[in-house]
Amino acid sequence: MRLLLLMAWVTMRLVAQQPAVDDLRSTDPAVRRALLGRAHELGEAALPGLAEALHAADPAEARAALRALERLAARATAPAAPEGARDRVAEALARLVSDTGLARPVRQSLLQAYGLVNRREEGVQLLVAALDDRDLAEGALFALQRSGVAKAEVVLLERLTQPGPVLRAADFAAALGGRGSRAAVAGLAAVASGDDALAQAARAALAASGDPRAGTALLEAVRLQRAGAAAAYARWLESHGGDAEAQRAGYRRLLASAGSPARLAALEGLARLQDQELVAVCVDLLADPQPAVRAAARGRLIAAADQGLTRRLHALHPDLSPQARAELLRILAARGDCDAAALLQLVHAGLTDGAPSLRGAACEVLGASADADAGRLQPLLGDADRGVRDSAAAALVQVARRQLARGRGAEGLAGLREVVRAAPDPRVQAQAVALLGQARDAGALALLAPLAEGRDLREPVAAARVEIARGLVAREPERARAVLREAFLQARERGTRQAAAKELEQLGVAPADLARESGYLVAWHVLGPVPDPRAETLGRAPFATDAVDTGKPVRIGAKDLEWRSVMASGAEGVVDLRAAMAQDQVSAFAVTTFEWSGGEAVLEVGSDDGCAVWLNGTRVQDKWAFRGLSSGEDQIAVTPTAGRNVLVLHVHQGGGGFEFCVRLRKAAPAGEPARGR
Amino acid sequence: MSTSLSRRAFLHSAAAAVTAPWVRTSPWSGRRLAANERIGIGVIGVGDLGGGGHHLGRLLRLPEVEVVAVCDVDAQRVQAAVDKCEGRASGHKEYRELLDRKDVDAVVIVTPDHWHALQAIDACAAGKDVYCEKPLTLTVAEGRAITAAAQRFGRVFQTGTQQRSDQRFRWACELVRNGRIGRVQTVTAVLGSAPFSAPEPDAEVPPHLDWDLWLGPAPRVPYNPRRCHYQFRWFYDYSGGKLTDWGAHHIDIVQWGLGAELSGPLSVHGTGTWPADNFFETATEFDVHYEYPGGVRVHVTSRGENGVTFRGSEGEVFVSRGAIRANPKEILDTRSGTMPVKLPVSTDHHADWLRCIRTRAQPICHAEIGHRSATACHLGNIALLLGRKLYWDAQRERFQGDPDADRLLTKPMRAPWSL
Repeated sequence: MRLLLLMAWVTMRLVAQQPAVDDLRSTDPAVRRALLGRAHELGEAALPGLAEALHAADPAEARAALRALERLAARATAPAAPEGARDRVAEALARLVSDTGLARPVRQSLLQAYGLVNRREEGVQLLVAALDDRDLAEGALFALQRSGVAKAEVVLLERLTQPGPVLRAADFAAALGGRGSRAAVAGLAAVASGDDALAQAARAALAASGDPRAGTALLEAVRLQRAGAAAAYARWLESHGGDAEAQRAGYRRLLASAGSPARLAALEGLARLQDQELVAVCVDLLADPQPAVRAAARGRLIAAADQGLTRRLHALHPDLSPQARAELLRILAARGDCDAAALLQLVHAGLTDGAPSLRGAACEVLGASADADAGRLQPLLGDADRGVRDSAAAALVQVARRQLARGRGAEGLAGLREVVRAAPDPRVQAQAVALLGQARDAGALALLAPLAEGRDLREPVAAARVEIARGLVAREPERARAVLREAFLQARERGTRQAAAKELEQLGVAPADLARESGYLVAWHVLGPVPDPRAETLGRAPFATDAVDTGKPVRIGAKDLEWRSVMASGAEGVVDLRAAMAQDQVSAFAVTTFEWSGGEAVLEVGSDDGCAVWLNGTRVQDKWAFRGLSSGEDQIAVTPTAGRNVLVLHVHQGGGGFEFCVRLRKAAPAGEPARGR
Repeated sequence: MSTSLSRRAFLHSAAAAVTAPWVRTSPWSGRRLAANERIGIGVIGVGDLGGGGHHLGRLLRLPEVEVVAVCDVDAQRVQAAVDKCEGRASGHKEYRELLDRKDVDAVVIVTPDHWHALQAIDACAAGKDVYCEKPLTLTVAEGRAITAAAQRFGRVFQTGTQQRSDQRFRWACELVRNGRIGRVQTVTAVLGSAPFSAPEPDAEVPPHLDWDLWLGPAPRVPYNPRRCHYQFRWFYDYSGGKLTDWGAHHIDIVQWGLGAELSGPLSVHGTGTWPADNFFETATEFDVHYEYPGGVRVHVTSRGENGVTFRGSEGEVFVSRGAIRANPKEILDTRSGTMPVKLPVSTDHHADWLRCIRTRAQPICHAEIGHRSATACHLGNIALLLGRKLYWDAQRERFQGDPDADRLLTKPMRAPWSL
């Protein structure tokens, strides 16, 4: 008996969970809506109800019906679907597509659903007619492209030359490319040599085709220097060009063609095939008028593992133009198997050559050489050519790096300081700064100080300061603390800040104290989680944001939520909301107060995810974003009231981390750069 | 050493040389970077993510790069990004203009998913290295096209699944790959539920937005603010909902842990919930079940604590952003990097990519990995739509015996856009 009762109960439950077709026509909108999300489970029985719902006055209901019809159509393609069901669904969709009482986007969507489910040749006629209907043409083309019916392709081919009043021939070419049959290729090949949009679309489509006619058509387009033709032909060769010898022949044809795209594509192809004449081809191309071609050839010559090549290249050096000699110098150095004395001779001559390109290349090569003499490079820091100065500075950094590694610290540091002072390029300066940091050169601190505010060097200087401070910890702890505090305030990179904070902690500065000293707001009250499945409550506070009473609960929906006191953790004053509210699609409020002496300020806010901010009841930030925490990402200029201020945050949680941090600092006076982050 | 070898003689000797093996096969069609040279970066898509701290803000703080160009179809966002770059970057609406710039060595693509493939492929063809946000693609076919382009043009390609550069995830995967939880039996990946939105009426296109270009290859529809910035991910024409949004992260970790990062599942089926009055299209709740080689069952769900749990015959390990737990706890006594099977190490996803741009090595989440992870997500969505169990041939990248399902592996594009 118990078993029977149990079975009856289970059956009732199952029946209760099954959607019922009649509910689609219920007069109660709630009942209809409850079913619409699952109506596809009912199969074709739901079609009449869904068709009616498409005309519902409520746009949400009509949209839900459309989505249900799309899912229903997809499921009708199941091999196990009842006999004839698929065709009946297609017929029903066809009727709806023809219903001009429905909005254009609705009919477009229905057309695509129809294209997916229709499997009858005569059913394609509906799509053909729609191609000439301005409201439906795009949807019809999509449907034809994806249709499994052979006639769809016939239609696309016909339209390639007779596109009709709405769509262009190029639209049909692109659609045919997605199908890739022999007939499609023949049609595309016939139009591929032109220079109009149709021809371009045809070439792009042909590149993916395995048909030999595609290759022939593309080569003709290369000969005519049509846009994209060389790349398309190379793609075709690689995928469908036959054996290696046949492909080689194809690439040689490309090499002999006009236009740099053809030569680049040929070079790539011959290299892929490890062609034995590639070296000769590359040397020829070192003199190519196009920089991209020269660069490609240079790269190949550097990478070539041919034992005798370096010697032959070296011998070729005097015969070439300065530009080519510069290229060759780099190649010889990069290959690494050149006779060192002979190379050095070329390099030293290059340093005083009249051509800047050769002087620059000589600097580059010398910088990489273990035998480099910094004294030869330093005069070039004052070269008339900016590029040469950059190259010399970069080379000096490399030399100094090696000197430091070999225990010639004084020479190395002197060289680096010279680069920091004189290098024109902040990128090179940054490298010198990093090396000074690694060497823990306390003598460089004064040199670094004026560089700390610039955008280019702020981060390298902060990181160098941390390193230098590490060297000072044992003998000058007070100075180390001061340097580390500067670095902490200066750095934007989280790793650098954390490194500074860690060192400071070991010097007795607690992270919480550091956070407070640095202006982070650390004492908060938080409220939540506030359900926000619609992701649309951000920036709307259900309480007055200018005078929050954290002793009183806040009514949200049917619940009274209590404020909870939390303290931020770590040196960056991060409040972790996830620990208390581990849910997605929610939000939380946070409130704190602070005293202000007057004047303008900047609120530096980081939050995961987006947040809204109110200061004394005025919303100063409303940032919808899905992002990770980055301290100080939002810089909000504000004017706090002299005395007590109320700051409220509303942080959204879309998934993953759920946290925030806020730092308050005085705004920099006009004309003075902002300090810290 | 002879110095009198003529050019003609040299060429002759070179041509007569024995077959020269080539160390590299990747082309060097892009600009050559000197060791000290900054990498010129173009950011395509400078909205909340691209223009915020995760990409633009971070790139601006890196001394080894120079952001030289930014691009967005929203002029307000372009201006904000140019301002953020303190005027050093040029602003563009058309990404192809940005790709034409010679000073752009590499691009970061942070556009809606339906743009990823076109932009990534065009960037590769233009000789730019690429960092493309996740999910890598909108369809399986797009992923294969991207991997082909990255390979053909020899580009360094990083997929923006930065959990691979988080040591906890690597540690968890190493524990699994080294058998610390025994034979893997099941894996659960919790992605969280997708949001819900009340209806929002269509609106006039804001003057600063090129809506037609925002839609690009997607079907033309009236402008609606709820379809556009950020919210695009809840519409199937532009994205795949939570299953691709977070699945790109966690399913990527599942496949990394199972050693299936270059293959994929054997079968997939699942159920989803589509509330009738949700303006968004994608499933709000879902349960997708995969089977992987070795009989491993993977459950990807919207419900539970966000993260990935690997369960084996001798224990389990849970990993999420900021947390790793194990049962028994002693499993965690084995630190990452101390086990025989060592996974590639990256501690910073951008830095890994930039390093590889100089060394021409493969980044930690190269195009093939990104494509395979996205594929698993797409298969889940196709299974939800079709409501039937599908069998996947990871080598052919086709379903077995289901041509109708195969047709969903691609998506037509609105002209003039095409793969």
